[in-house]
This record gives sequence, structure tokens and C-alpha cells, in this order.
Amino acid sequence: MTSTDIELVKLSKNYGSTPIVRAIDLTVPQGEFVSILGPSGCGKTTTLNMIAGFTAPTSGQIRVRGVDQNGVPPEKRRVGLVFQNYALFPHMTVKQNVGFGLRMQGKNQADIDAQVKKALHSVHLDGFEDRYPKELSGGQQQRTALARAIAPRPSLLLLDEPLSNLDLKLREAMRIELKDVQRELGITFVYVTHDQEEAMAMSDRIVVMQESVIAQVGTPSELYSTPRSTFVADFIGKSNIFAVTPTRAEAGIHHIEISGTGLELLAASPEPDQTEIAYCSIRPEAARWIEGRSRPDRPLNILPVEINKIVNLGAYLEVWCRHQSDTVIKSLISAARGAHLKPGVNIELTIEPAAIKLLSK
Amino acid sequence: MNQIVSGFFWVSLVCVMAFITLPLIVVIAASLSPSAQVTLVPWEWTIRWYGDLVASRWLDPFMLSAQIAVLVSVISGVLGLLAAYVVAFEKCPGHAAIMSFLLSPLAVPQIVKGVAIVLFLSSAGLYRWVGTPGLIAAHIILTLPFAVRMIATAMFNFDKNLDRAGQSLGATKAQRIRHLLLPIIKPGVFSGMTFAFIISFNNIPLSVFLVRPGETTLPITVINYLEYSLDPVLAAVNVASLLFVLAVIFVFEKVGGFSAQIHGGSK
Repeated sequence: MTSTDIELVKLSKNYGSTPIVRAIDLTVPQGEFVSILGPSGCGKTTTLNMIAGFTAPTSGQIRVRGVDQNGVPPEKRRVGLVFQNYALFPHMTVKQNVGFGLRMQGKNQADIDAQVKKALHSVHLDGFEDRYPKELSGGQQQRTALARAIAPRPSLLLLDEPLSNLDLKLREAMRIELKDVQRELGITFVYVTHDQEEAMAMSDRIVVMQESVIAQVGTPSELYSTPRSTFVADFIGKSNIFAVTPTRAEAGIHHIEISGTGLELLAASPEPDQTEIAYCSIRPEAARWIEGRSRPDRPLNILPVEINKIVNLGAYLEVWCRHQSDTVIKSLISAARGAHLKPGVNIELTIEPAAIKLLSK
Repeated sequence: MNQIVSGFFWVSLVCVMAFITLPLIVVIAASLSPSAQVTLVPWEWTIRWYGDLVASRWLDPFMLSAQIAVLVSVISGVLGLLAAYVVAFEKCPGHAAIMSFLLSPLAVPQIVKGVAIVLFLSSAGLYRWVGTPGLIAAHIILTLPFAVRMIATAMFNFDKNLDRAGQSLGATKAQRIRHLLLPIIKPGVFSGMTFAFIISFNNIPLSVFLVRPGETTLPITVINYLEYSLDPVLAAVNVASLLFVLAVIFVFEKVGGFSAQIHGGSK
């Protein structure tokens, strides 16, 4: 049974007259891994601090399992926290760090030892009990911080960019571990990050924040396939984004013209209304290179283009293609297939009308 | 090139160390002088002058100085801790101004402070305080800025996220102060107390206004003695008090672990 764990109702925070967070509404069910994703200064950390209780909201409400948290001090909220700089207690061993929350609760030593052992086991730090934080690597410190936060068994864990101080390889490994720990314990995770890859890899749902408000909420694949604004389209994954003007619509197909170049494209997108269309977004993998196939008898965008530039991404090539209208479209082509491609070569890009997302202002 | 740089480094290091230690070596040599005049004869020496130190003429002032220094150190530590907590940790309204005010005694020459304290005590009808109570109060005025400064620096360096982490783990304010803040800033508190101790124990310019017959601190006794005679006993007094101060620093460092702070690590 899933029940609601956290509810944010019209949550706002101003510093002086500057709004940092504006009337956010969000419901997180028990056991969900939700990321708050956004560029720095979008209000995501302030939101986290309000949930933790370090920052008092200017208006609005935070409810945890139905209980209004207004006026409840952080130490009474029983919310676990993992910090970007780990914030391990330097004068305590790993065991003492992890046992701190239980000790503060007045648990007896046998219980503390058992819980600490369990917590360390779930982050794969067995045998590190008597080390001091400075004797640990970055990844081990991060695991200790996680173990410390989960040892008192909070129902909610807040994580503030916990992986951003680790190097890339370790970060990728820790993503998987974090997700495993979350799934195993069934704790609700609220994960703040500016790294969209991280959010995509771990989250059940992502809350994209932009300039103090929520831009869009959805599962990673929803956000990727149907971004509702150019901001989300650009922030989640890569995208070809063009300003467009709609010319006409028939049988559910919009005819749109790319501003500045005059290239006409066909787009089958249910939203927004004809009058509100202002941009289109095309994922690079949706601009496909198809060779020698007869044209099907249905609306399709087929663009003869000349290759302009090739960026090697390892398994894929990002191929910058210029249409004769001077429109440049980036296409993702597998490295094996595109091995013989080079700048100056002419190819044909095929874009399904349904793959072109139309966006309002 | 590197060799030249490293050679230069070693030569300057030796020079600086010689500059610092030579006067001490001279005093130590003088305290071992075989004759009643201060002479420096390396192959003849005696420790008999140290025997004179147990006479009450030297022992009483030493005991007084040591007692005052311990009290001044403890009181400065406690007051400095409280002040630094409010100013540097809680950042009370006007904390920057209060900090400047707490450090302001540093800007007043000790002689001026000494005259001011004596004038204050006599005009306030507290002249009977001249002597030990006055010495303690005056030394605290002198040492408090050092203690506040050292402890406040430790508080400034205390990572606020540690406090937040403690809070999220359910620790009350009192628990966080006891289990997190105090253990982590302990080296700063002890180094502040060590400074207070040394400053008080060695003080002359302020003490000279506040001692009275029968209640004289060791440095003032040394100065008074020096007016009439310069002999190896004096050198022995100085060596003994140097060893005492070193012993105190050693003990404070063992208890407070502040060398870890100075050397940038902690265990």
C-alpha cells in the first residue's frame, strides 16, 4: 500500500522581497525516489532546507504523513540528511558517527551496535567501524554519511547533491548503490541535484525547477519524451530547439516554419493549441539517417543535408547537419554505422512528425 | 638552482633559530656559572644557584604568579568560550561590532591600562583590591581578547553542516554543543587558555601597578632584584620559570590537542 509521505502545499520562501521558492505544490508517496532537479539558484536547496526544517517557509505548508511540520524543529522531524560535503563528525569513528542518531535517541548500546552493523552492511562498509573519517576515501566517507542517515531508520531521507564531490566513475557506481539501498529499505528519498543524468538514472519521478517554480514533474521517460517547455527540453538530455511559426494545420498535422531559415516541417503533436506554438524540440536520435528506402505514403519530414561537423561521443556520433535553408540539426548516429561519414558528405535525415514536440512560449 | 634555494633555506632557518635561542642559551649558561658574578665558562659549572630558589623570597612570588595565571587562564577560557559562542557561533545581532569591542583592549598600551586600572580602583573606593584581586582582574582584561580570538576562530571554522547533521539525527541543542561543538573546538579553547596563562605568568607592565608588598608576582620580583644585583640566582630563576611554562604548554597540549589544530589536522 502506498500512502502519501510528504506534501508541499503552496510552499513559498522569500528572502526580503526576493522570492526564492514560489508556491510549490508536490505530493510524494511513501517509498518514492524523487529528484528535485534544476540549475543553481532555482530554489531546490531552499526547498530541501524547508522540508528538513532549517528554513521556515514564508507561506504554505509542509505535511509529513499528514502532519503539518510548521514550527517543528529539525531535531524532532526524524528526517535523515546527507550532505554534499558529507559533514561527518571528525572526532568520531565510523561506528560512532553512524551510531550518533541512535545514541541521541537514548537507545541501549546493544541495539546501537546491532543497527550500526546493519547500516554499515547495507552500504558495504563492514570492517570500517573503527576508522576515523579522515582515514577514508571520498566514496567511503559518502557511504558513512549515508549509513549515518539511515541508521535511525527515518521514513524520509533528504540528499543534497551527495555525489557531486566524487569523481565520475565513482559517481556512476554510487548512483546504482544509492538506488539499491533506497529500494531495499523502502525509504522515501528526496534527492536534490543539478545533474540531469544522475536524476534520470535513479529517480522514480523528477521535479524540474526553474527560477523558483516547478517547470515540470514526471517520470524520467515522460520528461524526456514530452517536455512541456524549451527549458525542460534543453535541460533533460540534448535537443534541437527552434523558434517556429505555425502556418496551417490539417488532419492533426501542424505545418510549422522555422524562424529565420524558413524550413517547413510537419509535426504531429497534440499540444499546444495552434495559436500558442512558439518552439519545437527534436531529440538528436529522432533525426534519423535512413539510406535508400522508398518514401512511404504518409506525412514524413525528409531533409537532404550536408554534414558540417562530427563530434565523437564514443558509441555514438553527434553529427551536425546543415539543410540548404541553413538550418543546422544535430543527429545521433551510432559510431559503427557512421564510421565512414565525414564533413562535406551529403545524407538524408528522416524525422517522424510525432517526434517533433511543439512547445508554447 | 634548487640546491641554491634549499641551501639558502637551511642557512636562514639556522640563523632564525639561533636568533631565537641564543639569549636562552646565554641565560642557561649564566645560571650554571661557578662564581657569584655572571660569567660564561663552559668547562666549569654548578647547579648550586638552583638550590636558592626554594627560599621563600623566590618560592612565594612563584606560587602567587602560578595561582594568578591558572585562575586567569581558566576564567579567560570560560568567558572567552561564552563570548565566542554568542558572537561567532550564534552570530547575535551586532556580532561584528561586539567582536571588535571584545578585541579593543589589544589597542591600548599596557602602561595606559595599568594607570587606568589603578585610577579607577582608587576613585571607585576599591583601592583595597590592589594586590591579588586587582592583578587577576587586570590580567583578564589583557588576556580575554586573545582567548576570545582563538576560540572564535575555532568556532568560525566549525562546519555548520555538522550541527545540522546532528540536528537531523535528533540531537537537541545541548547535546549538539556537548557532543559536537565542544569536542571539535577544544583545541582552540586550550590554545586560548595557554596564551592567557603565559601572558599572565610573564606580565610586568600591568602588574607593576598592582602588586603590593608581600603580594609580588615573580616577574616583578625579578625586576626589583635586578635593580640591585645581577647574579646567577636570577638566571636560575629565569631558567626555572621557562621550564615551568614549557611544562604547562606541554600539559595543555596533551589535554587540548591543539598542536593538531596548528598543524592542520585532528584526530
